[in-house]
Amino acid sequence: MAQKRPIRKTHALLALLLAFVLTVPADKEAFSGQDIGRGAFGDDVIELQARLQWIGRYEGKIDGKFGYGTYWALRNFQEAYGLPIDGVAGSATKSKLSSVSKYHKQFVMDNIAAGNTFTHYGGTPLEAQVKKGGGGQQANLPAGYSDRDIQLIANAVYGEARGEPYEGQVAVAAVILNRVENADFPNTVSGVIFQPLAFTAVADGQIWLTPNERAREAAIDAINGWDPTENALYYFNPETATSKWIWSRPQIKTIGKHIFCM
Amino acid sequence: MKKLLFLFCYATVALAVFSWNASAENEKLNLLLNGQYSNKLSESSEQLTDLEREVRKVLLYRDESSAAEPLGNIWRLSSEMKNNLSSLPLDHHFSTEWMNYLTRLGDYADLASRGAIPQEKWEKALGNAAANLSDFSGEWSVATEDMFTGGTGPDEWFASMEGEVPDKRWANLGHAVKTYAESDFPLTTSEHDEQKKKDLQLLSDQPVKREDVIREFKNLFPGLEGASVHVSESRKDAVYPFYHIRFQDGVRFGYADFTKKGGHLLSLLIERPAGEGKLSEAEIRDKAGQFLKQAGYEDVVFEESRENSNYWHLSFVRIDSKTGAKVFADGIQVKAAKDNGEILGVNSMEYIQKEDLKPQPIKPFDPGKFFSAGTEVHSSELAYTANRELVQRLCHLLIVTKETGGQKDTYRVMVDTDTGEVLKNELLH
Repeated sequence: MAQKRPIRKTHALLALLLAFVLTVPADKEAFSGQDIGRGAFGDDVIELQARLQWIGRYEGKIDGKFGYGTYWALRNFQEAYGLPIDGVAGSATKSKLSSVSKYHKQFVMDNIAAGNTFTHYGGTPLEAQVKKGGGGQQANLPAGYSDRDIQLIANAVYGEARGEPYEGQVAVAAVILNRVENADFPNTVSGVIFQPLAFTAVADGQIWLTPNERAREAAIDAINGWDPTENALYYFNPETATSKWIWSRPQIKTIGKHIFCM
Repeated sequence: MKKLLFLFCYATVALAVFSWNASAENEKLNLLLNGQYSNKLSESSEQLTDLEREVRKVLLYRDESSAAEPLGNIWRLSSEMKNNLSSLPLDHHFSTEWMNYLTRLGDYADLASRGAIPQEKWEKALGNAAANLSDFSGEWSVATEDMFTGGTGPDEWFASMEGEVPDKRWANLGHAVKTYAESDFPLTTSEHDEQKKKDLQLLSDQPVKREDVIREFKNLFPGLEGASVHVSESRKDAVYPFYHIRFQDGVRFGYADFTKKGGHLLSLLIERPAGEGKLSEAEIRDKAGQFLKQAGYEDVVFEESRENSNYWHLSFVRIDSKTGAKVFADGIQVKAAKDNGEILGVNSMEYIQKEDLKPQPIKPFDPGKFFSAGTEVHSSELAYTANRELVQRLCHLLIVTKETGGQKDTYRVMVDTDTGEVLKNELLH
């Protein structure tokens, strides 16, 4: 009985410490050592946006993409605090920002993971700044493409070519994008993918499998301009293709199990 | 034995009930699908009649404001028809040609309504279109007649679509539409980009041999000196001939394509596991720039970079030596690993053939008078972009911001240095 008291005290101390760690945001030295500038993507940018928003200097979405919205917000912050105005978060800027703002990492990351729409303003209860859905973090893409595009292309790539070499996966994504650009096909990614009988994965439901990181990377490479098919509009597996029509298309090259054609 | 017999009978009855249910369910689905297809087809037929009427209507007017409404209707109807068409299982050849025609017609009407095409030009094109649509309308009625009788189910639709011998009615219709499209409308912008790639067939360089491209591949990527390579050639129908190299070097797998004429690198991609560590964007940019210099791409400059999970994608554009302007159409993309900056991808397809740039006057340009009050200009430089006639034009490239409703938006605006026309206006995020 006498031995239990110190254990209770230790438990109480640990609980207090845990509560402190969970409720008090990590303010200083939370960023990585890298400078953060336009084009950057990831956790450092999320923290930068969240901290700028905490002090009312950033009104955009906390999505981890360092675009122009973040750029101007950061420049304004630098100007207000007498820092060199370059729109890049270097060590001096990060240190100053950390000292004047708070970052509730758990709150921010949980909401991004849950795909919620949320803000991170100081002075307002965080729970009141969350709406379900409409958020999330996908990828850093060229202008003209949306997170939904990358998701749909990655799904199509995974459903159609998950057993193929990486080149073959980028090729499937490139065919989708070539069709979007071609006047003979619908002019949206979803229009092309869901055109009747255009893709086997849509017909057999495999498009709804969860794509892996490799399929997403393949979609991102294709969106960034890579086209291993050399401008193909169709592809087929010669072992399983039943349509005679597809054999009439001018063929360009073979990648893995697929023949790519015009 | 009795139990087995009972189980067998039970299973047979269950299977029969299940089959009957499934068959009834399929029948219902078939009817539902058939109804939807017939509905879409019927809508398409009505829209075709409306489209033909609007095309005729627009030819009535000389006055631009009166022509605006029918032109807008042509654009809307062609877009709606494309949506309907994309959800119908029709003959491949026909549907692709018809979509193509509708896109061109809609785009043309849109350009005409914005005054981008001279009146005589669009009157001529739409006059042809009116005659062609009238012919097409008759053919369409014949081709779709059976589909409204209910005798054709989804199975027949799909069978006709994938048939070994194409249905003559649809084949003729597809052929007719292709002829209309070629005669009535010029290339679209995206087709122009695509055409630029296909124009690689016009390269006048001497053909190179397999050994030459392997040597060039290893020169460009000395890190892959020890890689095992397999070289194949493009198929005989490829628009431009090329060598396709597949390689492996330890954990690195990839491909590189080189043109046969001149041995130019078209694109390369390497796949390898991502390592620990992370270089800064500036270090990655330096490494990519050094690589391009060593590879002989000396006339390009960095334009922008985008970070993703394990890689950076960087864009470079050619600089015109006469004007110092950026030529976006002659770009190169580079993919670099975040862990050590290794070049994992190059895409130089559009760089191989340089754009034809004509001399152009640079008239005085005052952004203060050009933009509305409250617009702030942050940078200005010269750059080339294509106008609606697909001619490369020298422009002032300006990054501007404008605060609207408390929100600061950033735009990239390109203004023709000679005519003062805005050729691009892009909202940047």
